[in-house]
Amino acid sequence: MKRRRFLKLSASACAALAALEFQGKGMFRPAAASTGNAQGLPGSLGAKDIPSVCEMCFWRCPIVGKVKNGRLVKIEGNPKSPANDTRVCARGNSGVQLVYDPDRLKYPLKRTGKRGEGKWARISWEEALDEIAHNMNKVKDKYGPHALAFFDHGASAEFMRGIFNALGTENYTNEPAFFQCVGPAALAFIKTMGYVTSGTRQYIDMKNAKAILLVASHIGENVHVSHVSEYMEGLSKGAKLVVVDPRFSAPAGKAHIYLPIRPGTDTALLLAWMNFIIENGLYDKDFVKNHCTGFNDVKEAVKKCTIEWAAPICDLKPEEMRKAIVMLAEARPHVAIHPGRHATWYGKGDTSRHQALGMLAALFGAVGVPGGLYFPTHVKKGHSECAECGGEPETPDESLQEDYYPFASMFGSPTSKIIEASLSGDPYPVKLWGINGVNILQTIPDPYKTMEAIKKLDFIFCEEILPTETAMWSDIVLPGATYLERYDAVYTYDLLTPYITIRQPVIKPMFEVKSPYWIARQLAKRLGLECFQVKDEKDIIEEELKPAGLSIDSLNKKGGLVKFKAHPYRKRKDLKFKTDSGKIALSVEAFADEDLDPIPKFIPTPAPPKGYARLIYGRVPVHTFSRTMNNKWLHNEWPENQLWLNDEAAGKMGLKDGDEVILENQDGYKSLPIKLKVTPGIRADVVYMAHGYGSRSKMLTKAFEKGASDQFIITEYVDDPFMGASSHRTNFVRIIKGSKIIDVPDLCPVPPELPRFKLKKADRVKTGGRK
Amino acid sequence: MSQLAMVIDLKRCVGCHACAIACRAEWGIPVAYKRNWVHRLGPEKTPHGLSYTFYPGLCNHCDDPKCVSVCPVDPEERTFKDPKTGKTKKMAVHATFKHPFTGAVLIDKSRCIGCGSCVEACPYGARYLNEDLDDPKADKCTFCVERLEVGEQPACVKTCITKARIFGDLSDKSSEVHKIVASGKAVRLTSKEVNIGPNVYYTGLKRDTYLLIQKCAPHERKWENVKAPTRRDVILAAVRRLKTAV
Amino acid sequence: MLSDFILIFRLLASGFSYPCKENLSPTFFRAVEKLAENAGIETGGLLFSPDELKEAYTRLFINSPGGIPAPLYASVYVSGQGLLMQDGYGQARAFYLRAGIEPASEEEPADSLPMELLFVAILLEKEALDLLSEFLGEHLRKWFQLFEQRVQAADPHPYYSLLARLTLFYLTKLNEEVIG
Repeated sequence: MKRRRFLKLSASACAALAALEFQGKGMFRPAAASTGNAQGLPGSLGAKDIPSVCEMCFWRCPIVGKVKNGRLVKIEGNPKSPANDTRVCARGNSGVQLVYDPDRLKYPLKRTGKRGEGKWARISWEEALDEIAHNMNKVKDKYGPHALAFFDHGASAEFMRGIFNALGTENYTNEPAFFQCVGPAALAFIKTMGYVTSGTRQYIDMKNAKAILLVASHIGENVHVSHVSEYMEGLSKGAKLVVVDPRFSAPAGKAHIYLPIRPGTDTALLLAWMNFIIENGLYDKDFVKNHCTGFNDVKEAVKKCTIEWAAPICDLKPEEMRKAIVMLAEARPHVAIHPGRHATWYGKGDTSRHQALGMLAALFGAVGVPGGLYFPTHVKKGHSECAECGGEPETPDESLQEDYYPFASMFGSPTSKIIEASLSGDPYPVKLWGINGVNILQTIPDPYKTMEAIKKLDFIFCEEILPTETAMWSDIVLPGATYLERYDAVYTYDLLTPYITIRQPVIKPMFEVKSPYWIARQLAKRLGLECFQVKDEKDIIEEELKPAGLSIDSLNKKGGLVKFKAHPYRKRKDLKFKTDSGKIALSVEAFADEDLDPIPKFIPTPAPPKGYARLIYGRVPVHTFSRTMNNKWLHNEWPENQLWLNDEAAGKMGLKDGDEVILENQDGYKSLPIKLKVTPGIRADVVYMAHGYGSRSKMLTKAFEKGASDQFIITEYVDDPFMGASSHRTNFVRIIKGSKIIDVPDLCPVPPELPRFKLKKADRVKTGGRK
Repeated sequence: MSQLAMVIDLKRCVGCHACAIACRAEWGIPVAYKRNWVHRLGPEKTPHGLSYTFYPGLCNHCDDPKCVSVCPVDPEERTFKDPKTGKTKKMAVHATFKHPFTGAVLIDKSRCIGCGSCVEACPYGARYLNEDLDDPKADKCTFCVERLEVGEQPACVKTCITKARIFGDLSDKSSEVHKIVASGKAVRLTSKEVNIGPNVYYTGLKRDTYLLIQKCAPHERKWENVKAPTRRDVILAAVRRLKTAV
Repeated sequence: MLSDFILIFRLLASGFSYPCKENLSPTFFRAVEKLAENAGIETGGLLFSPDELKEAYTRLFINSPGGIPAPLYASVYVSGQGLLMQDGYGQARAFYLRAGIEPASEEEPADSLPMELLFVAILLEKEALDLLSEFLGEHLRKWFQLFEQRVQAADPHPYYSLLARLTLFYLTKLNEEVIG
């Protein structure tokens, strides 16, 4: 090594340097004895397996994190798990990319520019939490507790929800999971069957079914491993599959009968089918007689709903409709009438549609039997009261819940009402929002309205993992630990293969990210709330494991998971439902008490105005809503969405496959550019795109403006009159190619029963959005 | 001789892409490249009805691998071992070769000169040249032979959420792959022009296998257009390797 | 003198750490000015408020619209995958271990720029010049060039533009004059 010349630094520079104290003291320490590593074996071979629970979506499959030298190298299914075994989906496989995304949130951030501008400065946790506590107190003192509102999703939000609850606001939970997704279905089944047949989980035994009915459930496009694999088991054992969908979806590709129904008319089909099986004696008389109430009313109510009545409404061939219902009826009672999940389609009639699905299952006696709807198996776990926070909020003079929608309070405050109150101050002012784990701008209809509402707030903060649109609008952004970096909770699975397992850290938390419990506990302290007595999640888990005779250690010795025997079915004589009558309610009196239809009626949703097609949307199997769009591997698999357009319509419009177009909705809002997929596999009166694309957050480097967002052209919504969920399939679009607006040809005749959507007068059309 | 093979059941495949990502995760494949992929086909009309299916693809480990015959690297003798019997065999092979006992088509990375001939030759696009490396090398699916050696399944098989991928030894009459292939129900991606004995098979509904073959069976004999690298290129590559080694 | 370089790299490590009031003394800015002068760059006097630098730092290196232009971690540049905790991280850790040290905390990935610049100073203190030569040649100088380009292309705050330039200058200088 030569050492020729040395740096010539002036004396004054040396003096200036020498006068400085530098950061970095304590950055290094002497190395501990080098730990053995698994080098030599390629790939994930030789890695240490740490059992945990996935959170790439809410299905939460048991996983093992494969760790080499402190680095997570791969994720596989936990081989002990009876639900998924070694299997995880594309998203589960991509968790590695979430923790190691250089764009992830790393430290608390404080907004330095205007709201939505995305200018930030890193701040300390002290400062961030002090600021949030200060603003919560201030708003509460000035406007009362109901001025605080919390938008949440998932397990990570539970503790923060407790804080809002304890502060006394009725708006402590507003889950898009209910108000933009499963709410109407959950309500319908609670009232019909007495339990949440479809909520987070769907208790539907496709594995042992002889026939399966899917009404716009896109299994395979929306992937939850055990759900998909049971569906596939059923099919491979010979189950017949009937798919009802305006679009030839992935399951339609596997269907024995596919019914390309006109959107918004599913309930007409279901009523006609009920009438058909009653008229033709194709229902389970014994089951109906002994385990259902309201049959005669139903029989009477559906009398006029013949196949011939429904056919032109649904735009289906009567013989196909008959063939399908006979195919399902022949399999009774082992027929899986899938209860559906995402139910917020048309506002009016959403609860009724899922009620009708439950009724059809009941008429087939397909409840509590193999192949039908079944009962959850309760897996015993404890509860740590000391980890709680909450209270009984006082109801305000005018409630956003029961004064608008009789069944809202089962789920929280409807998001649409919170947003409207934030904008108008009516019936009372809402001035502070907390948001946890949900990207509200990509979830709630009319994001433009949401943005206006945010501008009016005194304060808004969020807890997030990635810099989503919502983070860009927040005053303080708290970086949450990913599911791979934290203890969380005990997870029990109550479907066909019950088990108990826990989420535990696979790697140490990176940067300054913190777990939800830590964050909530620190904030509660600052707010002077007496809660969250337990030190950390580990203690909570130990407490929750006790009744199962387990501890974290003993569970880990068993591979992180213990199985239980399932009790999904009942002998007929033992059937009991948690409804008022103990039987299935084919007619729901509680609905009648609120002047709502006790038995579903077909309520038409407006048909597309001339020149427009209805916008429908769905999922791609590689993404969880908009949450995973910036994941490098997932993004790479499917970088942008396409717009499905009927081939005949495209021909008439002079459009071809691969053309780039822009959509303009009925309110004049335009989409980002999107490429056409021209196919015979979609009706001519609808267009379809996968949800979650077209991120408007520049902070998500990969996802930014990739594909188009359905959400940003869903500006027209109708609230579900039962519980206040907001509709998503009530929007209509025209197609713009270059600078030319092309009308969608009217290829699906609209019968007089279906009114067309009335366009607003031109001067009322908004000009916002993207031009 | 054994022949490792895979049957993919399109009736079971839901097109979820777990296979593609598990492979990427297992082998750290940069996103610019792929060893394993899922393409969506349709919905499209076929003589057997409307089809919406998938092309889950990977290296076919062909009986007559054209990628091997175009490799310009001088053959070198190597000893191969039968993983089942332990029997060994000496054989002179190029930098890419077909394993005499397993039938897997593999690449000897230490001898690959990164000329890209094999990449061009493959009619299935199953190979890529990893130009992220200082010294680019060809790469592709290995049927996870490294994992098989320690009793693990291929990563894509292990993660497949609907058990659509069946993997095994075609020469073993008791194997599932043998039974399916022998039943004559499986199809391969071949055409009049290109039939080099692929060892990945597909089963499924008639409309789906029809669309798969229609859309994905290769017709171009790509290997016939591969220009052999010049002597100069070979030497330059050797020098480049020398540099990175030092 | 080695001691000059030690001070310089400690200063640069400090400069690439998140700015705070305590570290941004007039003396500190004067030292940076002197280093710039020495590198033939006329700064015309440096004095920035901590708030201004915090916003600039956050935008460039932590989170910002359009994605962070220049993550501070070797891994992002080395592996070609653009991800944290990949090969670049492994490389950095291996070098630290060879010097008998390791990061005191695992919160911040071990291949962060401030840590690596500090490591240069530590190797100089230990006079472990062979290891330093390898560390620079095979690791830091390789990725720092890419990092520097990304900083300069991102319409950076003049202060961070200068720091990046200075670091590149002194890394080159160090290589020429000490490693040779």
